[in-house]
Amino acid sequence: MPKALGEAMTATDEVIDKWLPQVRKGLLEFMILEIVATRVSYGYEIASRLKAALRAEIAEGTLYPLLKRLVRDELVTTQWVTDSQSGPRKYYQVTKLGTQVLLRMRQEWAVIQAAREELAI
Amino acid sequence: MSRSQFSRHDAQVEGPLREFRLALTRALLQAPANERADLIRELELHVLEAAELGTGSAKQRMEQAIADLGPLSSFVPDLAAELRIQSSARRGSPTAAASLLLSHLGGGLAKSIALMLCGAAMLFALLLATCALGTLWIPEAGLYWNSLADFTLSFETQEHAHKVSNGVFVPLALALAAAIYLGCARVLVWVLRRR
Repeated sequence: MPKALGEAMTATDEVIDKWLPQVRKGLLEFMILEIVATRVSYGYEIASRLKAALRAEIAEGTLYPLLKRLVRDELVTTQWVTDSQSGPRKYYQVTKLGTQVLLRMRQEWAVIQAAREELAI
Repeated sequence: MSRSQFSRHDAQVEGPLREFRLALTRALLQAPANERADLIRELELHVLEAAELGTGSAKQRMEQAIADLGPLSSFVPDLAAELRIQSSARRGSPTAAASLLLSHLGGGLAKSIALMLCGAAMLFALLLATCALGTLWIPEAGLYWNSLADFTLSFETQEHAHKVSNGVFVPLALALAAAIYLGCARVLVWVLRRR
């Protein structure tokens, strides 16, 4: 690889490395709501699904403050369930308000996507 | 080692888990006890499940599962703050209202009006309680009413007005002040919890 191209890649990576966590952080609540709207989920499952979908390493602990905030905002509820095989787990379930908020988030996301495509032409 | 071979009671599992629990407990000391215990349990189970599905020795799996959570400093302060707010919000405490207020600055007009009304009512409740308690030290303090049915809270004698008996005014005022203050604090927290 030519030296100039290699340097440009590094510079690009540096910018993306700063930009990407900010974008992800802003979208995590949206993504968590998508997950719990699909089916009731527990912390580890949510973290695993997020990591798999984003194909990225996420500090799993950082999801918990977001989950607590979603609970506080009454977008999700929690319930401890003990299964004979898996043991106790704390499950998160989307509320009616959470579903309404998720629908609005999807609409807003579509607007952002459309705007980006329009601006890129 | 497969999932079925991983035992939560293995010494190689219990050791790292105990250390993790201690570190978490220390980091969450500021959080309310009930919420802290619930959260620690949840995070412990997260780590155990991740370790069960991991690879390597039990100790390696535990260390990897704990590392995957990220440094405690990256999420525990936010968690502790969130738990404090939630705990106070359930009690409807004014501190919670202040915390929520700070995190929701810039809300809509309706929310701003509701906040102002609640604030004014809470201020009135404080004045009412002050006046009621003031009767203990200042004989003239109390509630006065005149022939036009105007009521005045005052710390000095009001001309052309009758003083409501302290035996009636003080308990009623204190009860009313407490009801207004606590009620408004709850309403305030409820309003602020709305997005």
